[in-house]
Amino acid sequence: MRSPGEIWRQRLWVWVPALLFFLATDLAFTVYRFGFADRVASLQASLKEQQERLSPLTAREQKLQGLLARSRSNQMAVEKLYAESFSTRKRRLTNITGEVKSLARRAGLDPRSFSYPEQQIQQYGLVKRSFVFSVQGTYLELRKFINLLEMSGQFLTLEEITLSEAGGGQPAGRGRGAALPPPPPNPGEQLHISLTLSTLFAQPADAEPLPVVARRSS
Amino acid sequence: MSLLTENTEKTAPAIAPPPSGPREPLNLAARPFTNTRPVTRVAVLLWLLGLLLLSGNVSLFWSYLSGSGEKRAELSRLENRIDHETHTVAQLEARVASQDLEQQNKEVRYLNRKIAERTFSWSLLFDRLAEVMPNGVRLTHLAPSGISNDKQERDAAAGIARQRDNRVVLTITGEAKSDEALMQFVDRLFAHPAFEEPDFSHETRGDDNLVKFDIRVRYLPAGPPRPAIVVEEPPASAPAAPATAGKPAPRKPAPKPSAQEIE
Repeated sequence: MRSPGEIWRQRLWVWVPALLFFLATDLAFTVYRFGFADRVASLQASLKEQQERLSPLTAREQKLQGLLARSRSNQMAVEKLYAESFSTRKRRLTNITGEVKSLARRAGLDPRSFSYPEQQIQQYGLVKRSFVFSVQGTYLELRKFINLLEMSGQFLTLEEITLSEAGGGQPAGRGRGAALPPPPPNPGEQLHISLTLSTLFAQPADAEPLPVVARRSS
Repeated sequence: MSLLTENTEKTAPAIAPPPSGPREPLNLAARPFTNTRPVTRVAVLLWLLGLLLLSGNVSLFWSYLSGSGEKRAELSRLENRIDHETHTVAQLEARVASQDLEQQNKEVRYLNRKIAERTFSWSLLFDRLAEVMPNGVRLTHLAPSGISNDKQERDAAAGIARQRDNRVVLTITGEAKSDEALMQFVDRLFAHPAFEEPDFSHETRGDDNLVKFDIRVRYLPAGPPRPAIVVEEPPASAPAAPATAGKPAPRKPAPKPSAQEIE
């Protein structure tokens, strides 16, 4: 009778190559698992790290691009405003002065005297020119003048209204934009109205700053 | 083997009788039988497992080779891109620094205030005040603030937060014939959608029995939000921000200033 292990010894050529082959492939798998797979993970980690570095850079670039685009857009809008609405004294002075007088006449007001105080706004290359005048008129004529002023194509701003009774009574209102909004009991009642309007002129690039003066015409 | 013939009486020796005891089984094999099946089975199993592992290893290694190559290439691309982005950002930052955005913002704020002053509709304010004014009340002074004043400009220059919702604070000074008329005026201000939070700041009764008062109220020139608004285009010849009209002309919503602050 043979022992059970004897057959394994006799058949070594059958199972030993198979076992060696299996062990070799297993060893190869182990080498891959602990050698190469780590390298892949390391590469993956490096990729993730680089992407994390890139994301804020991309966001920063987009933000800066947006900032510059808005800055360009603002500059264009400002240039357009200066060119079309403010323009220079040389181009708009007579037009806008005529416009103020024309609006007053169309509203039924007859201003007799004007003064034109000016203020330099050097920081922005502008000159603020005011039109100060007084008239006798009714509340309805004042409302009409304000309405025409608001519809005007010129850059004219209502700065101040002062109202008082035409007979020389107490001022009915004073201050920036002061007014008597509701019609008085008698809308045809004559009022003494003082108005201050203003506009802005762009200073020419080669202009020297002018001293602040108050000009007067009558 | 035995040879059987007929007539065996003379020549054939006598045949021994068969043994009466147990006989050994007949075994004709040249070598003794051994069961090799377990060995074969184990060997086959090992080969199969080895082959499976080999194919797995080949697949893994192949994917490693191709995958790591791609990853290395991608890594290289990313590094190049990071260098490029860093360079671009540095250039853009230099350009932004050269733009002096702070100064530009100040200018935009100033110009926007000027446009807001130009587009503020006094006619509409007069109309709305006329809607809430009872018979016994008369205004003597109206001072809108919040469109533009020196303090605001200083605040804006200092970077102090501004109101962005176009609310204007009105200080209304007036005279009322009676307390009831004054209360009615305030109630109407509360009820009107274009006014918010009216509040007394001063009230005195004079010798002529007139109640002189100061009221501060927030005014919304654009009014409360509405579900649908028909917008008319401003005339082409108008300045950047044409004003809205009063009663005689159709009202137009004031366009927003074209420039925006950069933050």
